[in-house]
Amino acid sequence: MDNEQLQNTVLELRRGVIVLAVLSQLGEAQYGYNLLKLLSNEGLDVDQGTLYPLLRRLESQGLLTSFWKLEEARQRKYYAISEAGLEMLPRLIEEWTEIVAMMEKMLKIERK
Amino acid sequence: MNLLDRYISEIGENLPRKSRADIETEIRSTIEDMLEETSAASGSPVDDEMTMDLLRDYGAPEKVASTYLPDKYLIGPKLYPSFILVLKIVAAVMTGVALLGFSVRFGMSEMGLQSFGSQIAQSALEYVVGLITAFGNIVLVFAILELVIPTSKYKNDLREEVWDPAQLTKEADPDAVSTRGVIGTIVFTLLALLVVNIYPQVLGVWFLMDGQWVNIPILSQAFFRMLPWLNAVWLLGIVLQVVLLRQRKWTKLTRWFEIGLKFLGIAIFFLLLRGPSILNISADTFINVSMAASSAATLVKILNVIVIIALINAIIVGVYEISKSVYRLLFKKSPRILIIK
Repeated sequence: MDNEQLQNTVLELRRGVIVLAVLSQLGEAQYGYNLLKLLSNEGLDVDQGTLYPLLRRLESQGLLTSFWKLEEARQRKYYAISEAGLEMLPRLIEEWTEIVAMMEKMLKIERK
Repeated sequence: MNLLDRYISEIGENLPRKSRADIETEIRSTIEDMLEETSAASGSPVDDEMTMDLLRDYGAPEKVASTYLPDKYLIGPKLYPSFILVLKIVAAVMTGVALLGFSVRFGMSEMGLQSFGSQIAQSALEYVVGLITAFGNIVLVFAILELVIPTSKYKNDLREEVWDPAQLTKEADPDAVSTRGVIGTIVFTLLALLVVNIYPQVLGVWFLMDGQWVNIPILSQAFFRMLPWLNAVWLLGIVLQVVLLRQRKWTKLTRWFEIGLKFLGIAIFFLLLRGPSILNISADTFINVSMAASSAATLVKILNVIVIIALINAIIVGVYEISKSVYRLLFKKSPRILIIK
């Protein structure tokens, strides 16, 4: 199989979970670059070209709030989950759990 | 201006003004964080080479800016089916007219084999040029509609378009607006405005003379004196259609507005009917293009009768439609919903 094709498919698979991952990490306000590293430390490498526009989209949808803060002589935009986001998060987690269970069953993966 | 400033400025040039400053500040802060981290890891201060390496990884300014922009369409998914429908209708009409034109050309002239070939080539060329022109005009009209109709409307429409088989048993809502109908009306009204105002010579009688098509414009000054009023009615009609497209439903106000427009239309047709002929033709016009005097006189009579019938027909249809709309507005009540507790 073409390596690029594999990478693109994996990227597409991961893209679907980024919203859930981001919402789950923003209980405490984070600025974009810190969130990028946070996700990377958890094993989810996200391109900044994907993350930053996503943060803006979630903010415009009312799922995130943002504020500017001057730190180390530079302006940083902090994002945090909003009330609407907090309301949605448990439902997304529930949906995710069901998807994982369904896929494990479909792919006949046994949990150890 | 240093390298980072120039990079940020180039990204900003490709961003909408409204969010430019915000995005620029955020990207700058991220890159400065990344540079600081790289510098700490390598133990060397930030320099142009380090900045250049990082910016190379970060991506070309246009590419970075594009990730912040929403998808843009010249003709979006909502309008596309109507666009294709109009294209098919126009292409079919143009093909019919081209075939008819060629048949007439073929039937009226004594063509040799060589002449036949060149006539086919000329007809095909005219047909292709006509198709490309029509395609360009239709694309232009739809691109303008795409700009005028808000994107949020599309999203709502797409959500509403979840089809429920139960709708089959329901009575059609008389106040519902048909998107295709509205778009079709807008496109054809714009095309009518274009033809009458910019290419009025097209509305004429076409003759084949010595293997060449000759066009005789037939509209008189009487018609062009009324053209500003006709334009006003058509433009107001387009405004009404755009409003309907946004509201998705007929309201009392839009119904009365439509009645007003129809009334104006009838008044214009009535004045055209009562005034001097809107046709600027006489038997001599056709005799000059080698037509027999008797045939020319008959053709003039036929054309004048056709115009009178068309105007009377338009007035009758208009009066009927106005009566129907007024009756619906004044006497027909909306179906009541009975709530039983």
